[in-house]
Amino acid sequence: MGYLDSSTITVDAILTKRGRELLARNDGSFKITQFALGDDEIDYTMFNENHPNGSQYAGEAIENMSLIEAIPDGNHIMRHKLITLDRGTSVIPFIDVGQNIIKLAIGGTYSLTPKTLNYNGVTTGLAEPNGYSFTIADRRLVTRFASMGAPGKPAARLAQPYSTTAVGESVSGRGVSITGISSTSLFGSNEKLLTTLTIEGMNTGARLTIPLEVSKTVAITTAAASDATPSESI
Amino acid sequence: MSLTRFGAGDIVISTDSLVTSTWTGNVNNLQNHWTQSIDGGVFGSPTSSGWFHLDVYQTSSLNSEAEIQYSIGYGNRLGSGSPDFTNDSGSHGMNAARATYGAYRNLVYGDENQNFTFNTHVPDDIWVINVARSRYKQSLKPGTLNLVVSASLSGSPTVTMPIHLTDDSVTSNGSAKLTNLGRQFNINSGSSGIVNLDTMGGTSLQHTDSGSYGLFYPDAGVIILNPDAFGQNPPADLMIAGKEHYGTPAASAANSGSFLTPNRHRGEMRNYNGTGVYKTGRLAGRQNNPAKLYQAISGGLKFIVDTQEKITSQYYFARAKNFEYNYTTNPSFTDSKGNLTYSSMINNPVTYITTVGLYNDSNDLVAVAKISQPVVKDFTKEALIRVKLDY
Repeated sequence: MGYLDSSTITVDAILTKRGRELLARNDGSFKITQFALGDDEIDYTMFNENHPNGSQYAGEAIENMSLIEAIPDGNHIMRHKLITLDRGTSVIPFIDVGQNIIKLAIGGTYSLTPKTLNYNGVTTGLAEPNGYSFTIADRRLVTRFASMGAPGKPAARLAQPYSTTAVGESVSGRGVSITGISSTSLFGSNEKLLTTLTIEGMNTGARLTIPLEVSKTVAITTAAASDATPSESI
Repeated sequence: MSLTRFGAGDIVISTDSLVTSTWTGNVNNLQNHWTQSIDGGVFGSPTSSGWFHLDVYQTSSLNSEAEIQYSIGYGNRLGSGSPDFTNDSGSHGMNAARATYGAYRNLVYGDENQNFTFNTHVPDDIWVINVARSRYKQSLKPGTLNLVVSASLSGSPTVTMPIHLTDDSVTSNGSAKLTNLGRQFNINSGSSGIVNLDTMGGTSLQHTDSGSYGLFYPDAGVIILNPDAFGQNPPADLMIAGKEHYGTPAASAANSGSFLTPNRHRGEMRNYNGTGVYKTGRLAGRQNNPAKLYQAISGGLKFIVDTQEKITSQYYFARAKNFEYNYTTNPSFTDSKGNLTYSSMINNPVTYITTVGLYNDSNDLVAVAKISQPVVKDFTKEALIRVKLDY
């Protein structure tokens, strides 16, 4: 007779940069209410279905790997989330916005309404009921970054603190409207400035990051939908 | 679905007391004491920092790893014991020693008419040991103080006289007097909070004729010592009779046995040794006071005191049920069209948990925890992960 393994995994958490910011606000916005699980550094190509010792060893390479410590920047961790789908699912939802880059001229506006392919088995895509989270890595490059609303979700989050460095901002909604900066003071001798827009489905956890370019002089030109090759698709 | 709300009972708050050694590197007994005294800069003028506090490091202050462990100060309510800021009539007695005494008197009593009292004895001056805030964290732990002071001088072993000091918190069953600076315990001869019953030279069992050896303020990391309790063998005064306050030290060599007796000169800088380096012989009588106590502590080879910190932790129990989290958005799990990479995973998907993200209602990732090794998850397994977040 042996002993049952009753151990519980205990891990220490660290605050992210966003967490510290919300904690400093002391307005209740820090309150933790939800969790998600991630597998950022797992390379599933290491899963060996044909392991010579049998299928029980298929995950041997993954299960014995060492993991890195937590990164406090929320933009670089929890990028790949575990999701709950019905058993027998053969395709994983992923986000499509119809283009691989967003280009803005000074003062130009662009609106984006993503859809999630394979969501609920619809291969052509559906809008997720809980909407999407949109995060711009450098908020300085746009004068307006507003969601276009989604059922039961706030149109925008808390105002960002004043900052002279690149600080990200997130909004939630069914889509997002972005207006480029109207001043050239940030450009210096550069003709264009680059940042990224990350879109995350609130129902599926699917995530897509595409570049966002603000040009000093060029008018809005967006790539055709048929050219779409997201830098990261799932 | 990728986010799960914590249910009732999934979040637990716990406050625990954490006791650690005070000194850098979790060293229990601080035996190496270093000061910044090479060129005497900290004592260069009457307003130099050394007259107010002499910082003590665990290693050479030139070492990049040096951290201030504690500081030593000397206070005198009459303004003796450090050079006057302006050595002129109308300004005599206005100096660092008087400022130090007044500052600690205000902190402890909040009354400029109340003087430090040790049992019933009221000395004119005090020694101050101020443990660095970064070292004592929230408070020092009563009952752990073990401080040995010694007048041992290099090359003069005959004057060695170690005194083992501790607070009386254990003997008094933790009963403390509450002051503006927090709890106050007496410092007596003994160890680890237990007072000796044969205290040296005292008419009482717990203190000397001149009162207790000091007072201990654990909540502020401050130790106040009573110089009179140590001054049992005062040297012949080196000052010329009648010129005690502003006089010139006499040329005597009979002062090598000074045992923590403060230099109570006033006035000119020349009445004081201008560096933190301890002097022997005649120069001992002109030693600056912070260095006197520094010498006594470093010669004692024992300075033990623990810190006490209350840490509030919040525990989050993340539960992944058998039917949850069996798929992933990890790009290596699918091809570019979203199809699973392995056909065997269509009905028996396997995922690996490496990270737990904690979110608020706005879906902001506010905290994150990593697991040391991947945890296997499939339709036959459930995972319970306890995430600890300290404040």
